[in-house]
Amino acid sequence: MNRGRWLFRAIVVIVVLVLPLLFESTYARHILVSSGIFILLSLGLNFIMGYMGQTPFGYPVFFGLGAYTTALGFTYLGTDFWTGLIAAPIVAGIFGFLIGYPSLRLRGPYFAIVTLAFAEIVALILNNWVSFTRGSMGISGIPHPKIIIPGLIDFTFNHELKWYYLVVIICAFYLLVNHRLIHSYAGEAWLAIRENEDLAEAVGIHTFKWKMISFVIGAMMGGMAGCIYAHYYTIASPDLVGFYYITTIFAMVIIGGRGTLLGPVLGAILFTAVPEYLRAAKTMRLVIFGLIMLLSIIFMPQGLNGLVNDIRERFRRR
Amino acid sequence: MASLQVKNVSRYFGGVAALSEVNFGLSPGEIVGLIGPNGAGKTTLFNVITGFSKPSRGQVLYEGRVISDLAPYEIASLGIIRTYQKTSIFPVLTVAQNIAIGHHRQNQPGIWSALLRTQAHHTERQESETGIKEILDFLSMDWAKDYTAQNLSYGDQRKLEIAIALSARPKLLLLDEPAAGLNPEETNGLMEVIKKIQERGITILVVEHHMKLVMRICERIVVLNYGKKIAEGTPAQIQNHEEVIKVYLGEEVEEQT
Repeated sequence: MNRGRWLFRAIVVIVVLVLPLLFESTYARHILVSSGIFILLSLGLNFIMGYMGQTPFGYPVFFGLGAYTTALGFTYLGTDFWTGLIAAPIVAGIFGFLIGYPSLRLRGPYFAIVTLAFAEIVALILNNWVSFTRGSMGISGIPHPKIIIPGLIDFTFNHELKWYYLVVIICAFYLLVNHRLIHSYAGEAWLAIRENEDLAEAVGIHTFKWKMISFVIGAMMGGMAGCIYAHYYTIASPDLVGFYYITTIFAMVIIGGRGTLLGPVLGAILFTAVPEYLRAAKTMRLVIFGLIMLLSIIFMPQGLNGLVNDIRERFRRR
Repeated sequence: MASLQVKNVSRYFGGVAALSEVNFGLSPGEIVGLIGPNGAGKTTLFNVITGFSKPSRGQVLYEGRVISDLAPYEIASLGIIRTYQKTSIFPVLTVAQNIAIGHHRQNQPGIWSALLRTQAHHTERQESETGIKEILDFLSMDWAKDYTAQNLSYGDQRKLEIAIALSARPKLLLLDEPAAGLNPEETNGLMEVIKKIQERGITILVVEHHMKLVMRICERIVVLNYGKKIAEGTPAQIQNHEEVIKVYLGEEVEEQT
C-alpha cells in the first residue's frame, strides 16, 4: 500500500514535469499555465468554501485586488513581480479582514450576498477612479518576472515553458500549505464550523475567530493568484472582479469537488481547457458551460473528485 | 462554593415570558434534573446558561463569577458544556474526528505551528489521539472509531453527542433530553453512563421527560412550568408535590352548581 502510494506520487511528479514538453504548440502550453493560475485561485476559494463552509460570492475581489496591487505598485513605485508576490497577499489579506469583520457575523446566503456587495464596490472603484486605476482600460504593460543576480544570472520568465515551471512550484506550495493547515488542529476547527457551527461553539471553539482566520488566508491565496495572473497576462483590468470570474471559479470548485484538494485542481483544469476549446462554438459557449454545470450537479454531487474516488473504489474491489 | 447559580433569571421573547424569576443552584458533583411540560422554558434556560441566549433580567454565576455576559465559546471554555435536544453531531466526519473536535479547547497551538509542523503541533496531535481513545474506551465505542458519524444508529449518535461533550472536559455538563427516542435498553445504558460521568466528579444538569430516568439518577429535581419554578426537591418530594401533580396530571374540575 505505502509502496504503491509512493510509486503513484512519483508518477504524478514525472507527468507534471514532462507534460508541457509533450505539447509543441504555444497555445497548449498557454492553457496549461492559465490552468495553473486558476488552480491557485480555486484552491483559495475552496479553502473558505470547502473547509470552513461559508460561500463568499464576491471571492474574485481578492484576485482583482492582488492583480491591482502589483499593477499599481509597478506603475507608481516601479516594484517587480517578487515584491508583488509578497505585497498582493498582504493587501488581499487586509481587505479580507475588513470584509470579513462585518460579513462573517452573517451565515449562509446573507454572507454570500454581503461579500458580493463588497466585490461590487471594489469593481466600481476600479472602473471609476480613472486617474488612479485607468478605469475600465485596466493597467497593461506589467513586466514578466526576472531573476537577476548581477554578473551571474539574468533570467526572464518570457515564454510559456518557463512560466509553466514557475506556476507548478507555486501550485505545489499552495497544496502544501492547504494540506498542512487542514490536517491540523486548525483544520478540525474549520470542519467543525462547516458541519455544525452551534455545536462547535458549544464545545468551546471561538467560531468567529476561526472563520476570520480561514477567510483571511483564503483571501491571501486569491491575492497571490491575482499577482501571478497580472504578470503572466501583463494586464490587470476590472473584469477580474466581475461576474465572469465569479461563475467560472465557483464552477471550478463545485464541479471539481468541494472540501478536497484534488477537486479544485481537476475543476480548474477542466474549466480552463473546455472554454478555450469551445471558443469555436462562440455564442453557444456559455450555454454549453451552463449545461455542464447543471448536469454535473445532478449526476456528480461530489464533483470530479467524487467520480475519481468511485472509479478507484471499483478498481480496488476487483 | 456553588457550581452554578441561576439568580432571578427572566427571558422575554416579545411579550412572552419564556422564563420569569427563575432561581436555583447546583453544588459541585451533584446530578440535578430539570423537568416540566413542553414549553416550560427548559431549553431556553439551557440557552441562557450556555450564553446562546442572554437573560433579559437576572444573572447566571459559575463558581461565583458572572457568566451571563460571556460568549458561548467563553462559557464552554470555563468547563460548561451542553448537548442538544435534537441530535447534534458533525455528520460527515468520522467518530474519531467528532471527538477530536470536542478536544479542541484543551491545547491550542497556533496556525504557524500547523504550517511549520512544530513540536507543539505533534504534541497536540498525540494528545488528541490519546483523548479520543480514552473517551471511546469510557463509552465502549472503540468499534465505531472510523465510522462516519451519520452512518451510526440513532442511539449511537446520541451516545456520540455525549462523547463529544466529554471530550471537551466539562466540569458542568448540561444534557438536553439525552434519552429522547432511545429504547428501554439504550435508556438503561444511558443511566449507567450518566452515573459513571458523575463518578468523575462532573456536575450534571439534565433535562428529561423520561421520568424513570430522572427519578432514579437525580439527587434533586427542579420543576418549571410556564417559565416559573414551581417546585424543587428530592425525587420523593417532587413525586408528592401537589402542584407538580396538578401540572402533569391536571386537576379535578370543580363541579358547577
